[in-house]
Amino acid sequence: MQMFFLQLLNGLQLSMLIFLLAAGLTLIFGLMDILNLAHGAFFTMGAYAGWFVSKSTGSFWAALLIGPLVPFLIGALLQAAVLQPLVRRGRSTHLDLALLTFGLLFATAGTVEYFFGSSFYSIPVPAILSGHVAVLGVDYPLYRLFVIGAGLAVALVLSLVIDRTPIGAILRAGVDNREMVTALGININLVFAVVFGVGAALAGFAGVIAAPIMSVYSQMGIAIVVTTFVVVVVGGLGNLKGSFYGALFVGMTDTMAQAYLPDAELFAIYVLLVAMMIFRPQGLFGSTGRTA
Amino acid sequence: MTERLTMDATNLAGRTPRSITVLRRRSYVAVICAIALLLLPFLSGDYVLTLAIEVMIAGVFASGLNVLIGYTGLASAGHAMFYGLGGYGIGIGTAIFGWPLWVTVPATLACIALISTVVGAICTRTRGVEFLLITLAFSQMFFGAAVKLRLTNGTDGMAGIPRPDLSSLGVSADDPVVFYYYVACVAALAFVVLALIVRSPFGSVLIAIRESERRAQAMGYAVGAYKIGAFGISGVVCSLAGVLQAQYIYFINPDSMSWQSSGEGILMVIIGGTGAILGPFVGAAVFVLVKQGLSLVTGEYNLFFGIFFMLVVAFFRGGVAGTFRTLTGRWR
Amino acid sequence: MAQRANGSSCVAFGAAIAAVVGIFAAVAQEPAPIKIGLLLPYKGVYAVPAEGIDRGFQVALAEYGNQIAGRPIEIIRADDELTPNVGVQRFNKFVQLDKVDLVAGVIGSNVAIAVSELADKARKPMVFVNAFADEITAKFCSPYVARTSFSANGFQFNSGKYWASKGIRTAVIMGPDYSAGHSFLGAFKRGFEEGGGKVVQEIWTPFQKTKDWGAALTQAGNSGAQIIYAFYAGAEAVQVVKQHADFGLRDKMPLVGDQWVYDEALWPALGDLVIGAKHITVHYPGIESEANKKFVTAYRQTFKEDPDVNASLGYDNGKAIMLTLEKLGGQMPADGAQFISTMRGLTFDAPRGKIRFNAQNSALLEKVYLVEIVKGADGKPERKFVDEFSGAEDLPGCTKSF
Repeated sequence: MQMFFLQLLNGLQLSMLIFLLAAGLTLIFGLMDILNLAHGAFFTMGAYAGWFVSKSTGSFWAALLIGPLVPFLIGALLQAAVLQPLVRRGRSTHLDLALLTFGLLFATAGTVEYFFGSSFYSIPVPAILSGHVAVLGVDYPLYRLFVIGAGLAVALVLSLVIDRTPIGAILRAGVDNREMVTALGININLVFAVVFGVGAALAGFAGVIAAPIMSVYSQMGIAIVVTTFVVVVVGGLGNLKGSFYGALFVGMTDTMAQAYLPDAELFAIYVLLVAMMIFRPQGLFGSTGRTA
Repeated sequence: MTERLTMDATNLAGRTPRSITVLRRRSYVAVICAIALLLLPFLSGDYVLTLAIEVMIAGVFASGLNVLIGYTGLASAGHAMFYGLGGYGIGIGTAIFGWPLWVTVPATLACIALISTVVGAICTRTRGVEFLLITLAFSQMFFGAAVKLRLTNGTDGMAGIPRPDLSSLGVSADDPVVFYYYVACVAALAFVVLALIVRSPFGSVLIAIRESERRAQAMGYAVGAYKIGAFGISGVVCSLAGVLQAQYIYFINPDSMSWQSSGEGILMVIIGGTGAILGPFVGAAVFVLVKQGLSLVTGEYNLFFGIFFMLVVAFFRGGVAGTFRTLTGRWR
Repeated sequence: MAQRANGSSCVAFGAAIAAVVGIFAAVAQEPAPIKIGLLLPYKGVYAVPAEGIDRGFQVALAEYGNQIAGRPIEIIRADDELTPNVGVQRFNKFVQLDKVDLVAGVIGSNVAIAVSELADKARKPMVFVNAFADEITAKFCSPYVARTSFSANGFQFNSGKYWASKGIRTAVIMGPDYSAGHSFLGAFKRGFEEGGGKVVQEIWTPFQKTKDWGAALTQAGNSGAQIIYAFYAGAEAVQVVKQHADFGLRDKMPLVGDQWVYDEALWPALGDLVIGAKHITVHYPGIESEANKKFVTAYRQTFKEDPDVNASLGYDNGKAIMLTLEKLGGQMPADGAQFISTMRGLTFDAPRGKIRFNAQNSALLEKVYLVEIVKGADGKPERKFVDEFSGAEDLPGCTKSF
């Protein structure tokens, strides 16, 4: 029972990490119809930026705040300068853009490898978050509880912004009907660039937060990108609530499989995905009217 | 002298008329290429042969994939699963069941045909991005299963995959030259079969589906069945490439089924140009040579690979074959 | 321009001819280099061990002045990316494009299994530096393949017996799910259970794919065993050791392992976590022997720090190759198997002890040391000798005879 509870916590922690990534991805897809395979690259960029800041300033919190800014800027720039013009020029089939971002994923891995080498780096956990806490009689790392908390906090903030603020309203409107939003006089390109940037920043934030647990290395984005996609599809493309529950679903499945059915470990979440695609292709919360 | 043919809507059942000049020009090129391939072992050393073998195997894989992506318009991110399954089929058949190759290969292809039809039936219920992701999910499933399966040694894979026993012809397939000809024959066979398929009415329907699925359906074609058929055919051809690869390095392991492998296949199809028969081979050649060349020149292969990928996608819309196409008149 | 044949221009012309002929003669005399292809995973999770091995290899070659019998030695390096498919491609390139005389290196047993098949078919000598999986010199043995390190069984079997003899009754084993992981921990388990212990659980994590050891460590912590016996290397080792401490298991269930779990090259990343750790090793800089002192001094001179165990393995690899070349008078035999069989006949004093080979071309381990990492006088961690025992024999399984 104890072990089950511990694994539950592990699963929750993994879910929150994936949620941070999936949230950005689903926002980008929902609004712009872009399947951003490079999302893993932003994860990597954020982690390296955070590591660099942490090494220079010695502060984890500085890394957490400043790290995500790098992917934010690069993401916004990518969207405004590269992706949007391609879309305008009519080269916006999903395959084209998906593949372009796929190439970006490898290019980013190569770039960080070039500048930082292929060693594994780590961001040290700040003193107040290190050590373990007795949970139900077992010791659980305090930092992982922090990750869970951070994920939940971000989820809360995002849902508040989307549901209760004007910007959120614009976003929701844009997902439903892009042309109408433009017709209302809103600079849709700016919105796109900012949203892309925010999505990328979320991924970067996840990178910094994950670093003490998973280490910082050049291939980190590539490894996590596929899991993120599973979550986004399971949750419903373009739906933030879906990504949250999808992340919970996938994170728990993955961790429980690892713990109780190790032979099905690499397998389980894809079975989940296939089942979802057969029985409910729009995902948990997606709308049926969506055509790809 | 060269008549430029305008690109009208392709009529569904028939073919567009071509000028004799284009046909003749194309057949010259084909003959020259065939002669070059035949004489390659005598014109160059072992390393070039190795590259040629890799190009041909990659070309078969890309051609299979092209049936689905180029002709039917369904982008699959998981076809490396069939590539890997082909290799595993040979491994399991020869090492675990002890069958000779002439039994194992057809058995493998038959199994793959079955598996790809079933998988295709499930996947083709979706389209676009969802199709991309569900094919990816299937390939990850097979990958995960291969990693965990102790029977096939998990990550370590199976070594000692046999090449065909050509002792009755007095030669050994371990010899690079002999193996080169073997691969060339198989690749040529695959190429001919694929060419026949895409030129047939079946192929025309696939193109119609790519252009507008709704219209094809309205015309009375059982679109679903055609898509599954395309999926199945491409699966079998990809698995044939996997068989050749396993024989080439005497080895198979789950990495052949990775999604990175699928991605490389897609890149080859794009470089070569979708919808052209020789396109995939050209794409495979460019890809293999660039990859080898890059790794000789620099250790930072990932970086240049990524940039190369992006440039190709951004600028080579018609692919290399597409560019060639407009220079020499219409290909099909 | 009018040409006049006169005495001085004849002499000049003759001198020029003589010079040209002389240059050609000199160039023709220059002996052809011996090319060694060095295949290591320079990038990825085993990048750090790869670097160590490369350095040790260099030190061994430098002892001979990077030449043998007047022929310079040329090292051509390639990265196998710890992936069999890539290793195979690089091997082919070595043999067909670079036309190397022999191939050395290879850490990963997964790459080794694929490449040894190729070496056998291409009849090219392949001298493995690590590649510990037992099958490599058993099921997949070949007259063209040798290994200068040791087999997993040779290293870990007696370790299992040792720990059982020290009062450890129960253990949980944890390792990467691939050939080397299974070989190492399987050998430990056999020795441990023969010594009266019991392995209560086996935890296998996907090789190179696991980034978060939370689930695995939680299971281990729950197993009720006295120790966790693990094998991990490179980046995986760093993460396992750290997360083991994160989960509060350092006192409850010590993480015992070998020289890769607590690799010296990883000490900077691990900080104080290494203090108090006990592990088995085949080499450490403090070994009191002539060969080791010479090696450590040479390494310190070139690289300004102490060699780690990977460097000693790389050194052994290079030394074995050089000794074999010396015995062959600097001439590579036409049949690669002869190179390997010559190596098989060697016995020499390596930094780790005496090295000799068994009939399957696998080097045997003379001694295994147990060390503890303590805080030295200067505040930096260092190894302290605790105990030693002998290495074990290899597992059988080679059906070929050569």
